[in-house]
Amino acid sequence: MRGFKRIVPYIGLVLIIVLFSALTGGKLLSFRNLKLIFNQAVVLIIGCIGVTFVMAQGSLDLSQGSLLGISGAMAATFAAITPGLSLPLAILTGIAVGMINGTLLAFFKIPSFIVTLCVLFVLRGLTVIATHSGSIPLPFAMLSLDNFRIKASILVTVILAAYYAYTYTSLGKNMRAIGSGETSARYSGVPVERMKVLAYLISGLLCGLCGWLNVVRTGAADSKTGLLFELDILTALVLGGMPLTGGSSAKLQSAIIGGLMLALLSNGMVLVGIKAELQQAVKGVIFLLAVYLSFERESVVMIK
Amino acid sequence: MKQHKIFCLVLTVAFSLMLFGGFSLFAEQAPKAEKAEKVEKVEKAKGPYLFGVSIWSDSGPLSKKVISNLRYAAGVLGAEVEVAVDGFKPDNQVSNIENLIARGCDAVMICNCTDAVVPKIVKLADEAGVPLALYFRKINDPEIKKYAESSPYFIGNVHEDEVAVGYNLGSALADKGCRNAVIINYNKGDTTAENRYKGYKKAFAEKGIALLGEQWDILDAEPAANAAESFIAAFPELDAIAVGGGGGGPLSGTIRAVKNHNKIGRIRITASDFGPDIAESLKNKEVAAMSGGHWTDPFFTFILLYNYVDGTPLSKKVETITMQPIYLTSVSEAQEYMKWCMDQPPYNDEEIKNMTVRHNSSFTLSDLRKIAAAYSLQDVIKRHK
Repeated sequence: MRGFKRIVPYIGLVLIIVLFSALTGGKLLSFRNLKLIFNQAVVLIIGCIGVTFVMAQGSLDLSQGSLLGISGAMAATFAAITPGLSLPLAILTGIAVGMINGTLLAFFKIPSFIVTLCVLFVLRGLTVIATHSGSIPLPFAMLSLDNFRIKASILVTVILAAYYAYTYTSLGKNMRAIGSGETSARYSGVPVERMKVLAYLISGLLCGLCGWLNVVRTGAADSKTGLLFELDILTALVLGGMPLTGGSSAKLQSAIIGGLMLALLSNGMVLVGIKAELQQAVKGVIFLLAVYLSFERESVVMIK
Repeated sequence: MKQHKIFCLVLTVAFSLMLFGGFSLFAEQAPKAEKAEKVEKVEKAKGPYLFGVSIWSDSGPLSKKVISNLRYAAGVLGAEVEVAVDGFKPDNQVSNIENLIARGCDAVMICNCTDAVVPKIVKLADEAGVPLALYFRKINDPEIKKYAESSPYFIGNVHEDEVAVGYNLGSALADKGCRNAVIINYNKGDTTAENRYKGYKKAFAEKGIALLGEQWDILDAEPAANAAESFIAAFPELDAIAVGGGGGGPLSGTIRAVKNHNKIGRIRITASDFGPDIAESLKNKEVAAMSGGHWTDPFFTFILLYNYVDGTPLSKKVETITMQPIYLTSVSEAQEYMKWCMDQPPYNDEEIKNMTVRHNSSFTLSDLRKIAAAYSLQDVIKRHK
């Protein structure tokens, strides 16, 4: 059964591709459309990768949507001064928020669900203030940064770096050790608190990068930017086979497969011409199915 | 194991170099649009023209009417309409335009949530060679306006005189004797919301109404009800609530809050965007005056685009068409509105066909401007009675 569960996301991905390819007469897999899907999936996949580090410890990060908003707002604000400042400021914002999230969880022992939910609200308020309840346009020249080569390079670099850190370094191993049992990890010499802060720091850093990519893509930071992004991330991760409870079984592949699946699904439904009102319902049903298939009932624990 | 590490490191460094190569490319060639990613239009088999419409919602009274009216007009002209919902979020609006172009739409139209998103949308249309027009919106930012107007594929926009809408409704509140008002509005940065706000403020200043408070970013009934309840609790002297718009939802939430506090008739409400129960609301004195019926605005945008796509553009430059909404202040007016504008299309099949050069070779932009400017309840009654 476990072996089957492992391949369910891949079967799902193939099914989505086959189904929509047939329904769109091959349009789905045209080079142009694949580029479009990639374009729409980049931010989601990077966001998912960041959250994978957090979920590997059995925690959650619900602050991603608002962090995307505030880091985008910072990027757009500083881009008006000099475009070169936009990326560092977006990433620094992400790192700072990640530090706060991790510190509150690790040292003040507040559950991650509560911490990140509160930070979500705080950051949304700050985003509204930073954007003056409206939007901040990017300088026109920066629109050219919405470039396939740049995005592909960033995505591949992030995937490789994350895969290496998650799979081959003590950082990834320690995080997964916490996910399989915090007490035993502590007794084994894992610096639990430091690892928790680091996981949120990585998640924040990558979300800051997402904020910059998103603002470059839309040409503006807006008070509503990133609304419900955290739910998209959770949906993508679950579609990719990540158990909602996270833990040591969390795989980085879930982030990539899930992000692609969600982007393919959204794009495929538009190409087929499924009415907008039905698209959300379809996504909801698929999410429910994915949770049902990936939920590990025998090892269910509270999300820490 | 060690080989894995080395492999990963080498790839990481290689791609990092590619990344920075991409940036240096940007530094050298930033102004050249062709370096940016292109979303190209998918060639579709010959068939009816397909028009892509990005809209904030498909469930509110205004958006539903916009969609049904566009589908009706498209049906008359043998065209099709593809609708994508964007929730008034810039990232969704960009994705929608990309998806609609990829779907093979011959033209796209959007009610942009902010001026700031226009350059990106215009750029997508330019790169795909797909004509684009804005409905319900004018571009306030002069730089963005200049950028959009330099595009060969930006056809134009249709909008209402929103400052006049705010001013007229603000004046209506003064005529009812109101002296202390609040404004509940939607997005800051949205030109319609901001222009209506300007109009209300102008009327309030001229007619001696004190503006006690304002709440922005309200697009739905629930937050509108919460905002209205807070205002009612904070300002006992409150006698007017101006609802900036938002497609009908904020108005119903505001009415609910006023009703819950038994202040109907003591707190007057004005709003834009009629709901289906407008006659009932006027009868019960829930609203003092309303503007609406401007869902024909996207229809005029569609006509502009249809003529362009059909190879007979009404103009060779970017055009802006301004129209007036319908104002209702009495139950009888509301009943007439329901009868002539809601229960039947405000433009019949023959009139729609006559707005296209294909069916009426003498039709010009000036004719379309005249039709849009003449739109009113009386105009519809006169044409169809």
